[in-house]
Amino acid sequence: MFMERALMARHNESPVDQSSFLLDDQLQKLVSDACARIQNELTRRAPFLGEQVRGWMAQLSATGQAPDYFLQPRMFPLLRLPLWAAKSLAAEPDGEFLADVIYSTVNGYYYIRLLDNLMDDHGTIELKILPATAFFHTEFQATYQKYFEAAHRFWEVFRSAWFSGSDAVTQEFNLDRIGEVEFERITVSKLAGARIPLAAVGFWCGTGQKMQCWENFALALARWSQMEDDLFDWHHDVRHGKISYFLSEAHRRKGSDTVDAWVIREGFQLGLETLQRELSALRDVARPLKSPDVVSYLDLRETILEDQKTKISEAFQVLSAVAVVTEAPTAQAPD
Amino acid sequence: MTVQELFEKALHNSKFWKELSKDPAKALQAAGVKATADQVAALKQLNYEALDEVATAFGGGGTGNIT
Repeated sequence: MFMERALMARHNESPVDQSSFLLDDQLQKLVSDACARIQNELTRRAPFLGEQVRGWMAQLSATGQAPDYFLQPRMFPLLRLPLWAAKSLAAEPDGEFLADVIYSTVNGYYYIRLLDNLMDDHGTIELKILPATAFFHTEFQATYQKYFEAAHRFWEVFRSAWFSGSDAVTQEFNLDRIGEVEFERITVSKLAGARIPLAAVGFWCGTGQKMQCWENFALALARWSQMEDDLFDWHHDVRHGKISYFLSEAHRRKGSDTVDAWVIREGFQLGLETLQRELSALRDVARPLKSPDVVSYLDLRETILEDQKTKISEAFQVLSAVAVVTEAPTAQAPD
Repeated sequence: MTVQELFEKALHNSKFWKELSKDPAKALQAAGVKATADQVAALKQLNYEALDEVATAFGGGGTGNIT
C-alpha cells in the first residue's frame, strides 16, 4: 500500500490550477467506457478469465478504479494524443470513432503492460492471466477493421509500428548496458506503438500527411517520458537489477561513489537539467501542431519538473548534511 | 550511516526522521552513532519535511508505464 500511495502521490504532485485542464470530461468518459467495455466483453465471452482480469486492471490503479490508471497527470498521454490530434484536425470529431480508438488503445496498453510486467519480473498474477493477451490483442487490432479495409495504408503503419516496437523490446531485454546509441536506436523504438492511434485518427480524418507531425511529436514525447521514467525509477531499477540509459551513465560517471551516492550528489540534478533542456526542444517539435492542448500539457510538465527540482534538491541537501555527521570521524557506529 | 542508507530511511523509515528532527542526539544514539554538540546543533537546523518528497518522487519506482 505504501508503494501505491507513493505512486499515486508521484503522479499527482502538480499544481491543481495547471493540471485541471487534464481533467477532461470527454477523456474520462471514453476511458471509463473502454474499461467497462473490456470487462463486459470478457464477462460475456470468457467469464472465468474476465473475473481475473477485472481484478488485475483494478490492482494496477492506485485508486482501485481501472480508468484512473490512465488519467494520472504524469502518465505518458497515450490516450490524450489522439483526442488532441482529432480536435486539431476535424471541426467535429466523430464520437463513435474516437470511442473505438480509445477502446483499441486501452486494449493495446493492457497487452503491453501484461507482457512487460512478466518480462520485468514484477508480475503478480500476470502469469495466471497470460491468455488474456489473446483478448487484448484481438480487440486492439480488430476494432480498426471496421474503419480500414485490408489494403488500406493504415495497416502498413500498424504493422511497422507494432513490429518495430516488439523487436526493440526484445533487443533491449538482451542488452547488458544502454548507452546513448542503444537508447536512441532501441529504447525509443519500443514506444513506436504510440503512432498507431494517431495514424488511425489521421487517416480517418483524411489528413494522413499532416499526421506525420503528430507522429513525430508522439515519438519525441515518448523519448522524453522514457528519460523521465529512467530518472525517477533509478532506485527501483538498481534494486531490481534493471538497466537503463540513466544507470549506464551513472556507472560511467560515478567514480568511486556508489550509484546512489552519485545520484544524490549530482546525478539527479544533471538528469533533471537534461529533462528541462529536452522539454524545451520538444516545444519546437510541437510547434507545427498548433495545438493549445499540447502547449498546455508541456507547460504543466515544465512546472512539475521545476517544482520537483526545488523540492528534491532540498531533500538531498538534508540527506547529505546528515550523512556528513553520521559518516564523520567523530561519529561512531557500533561494532 | 552512508547517504544511501539515509536515502533508504527516507523511503521506508519516517519514524527515524521524526525522531531525528525532534531530538537529534537521542535519535543518533539510538542508531549507534555518536555526534558532537556542534553536529547536533547543525542537525537541528535542517528542514526534515523536505524528505517527504523523496518518498513521493521515488517510492513508486518501477512503474515503467509510459506506454
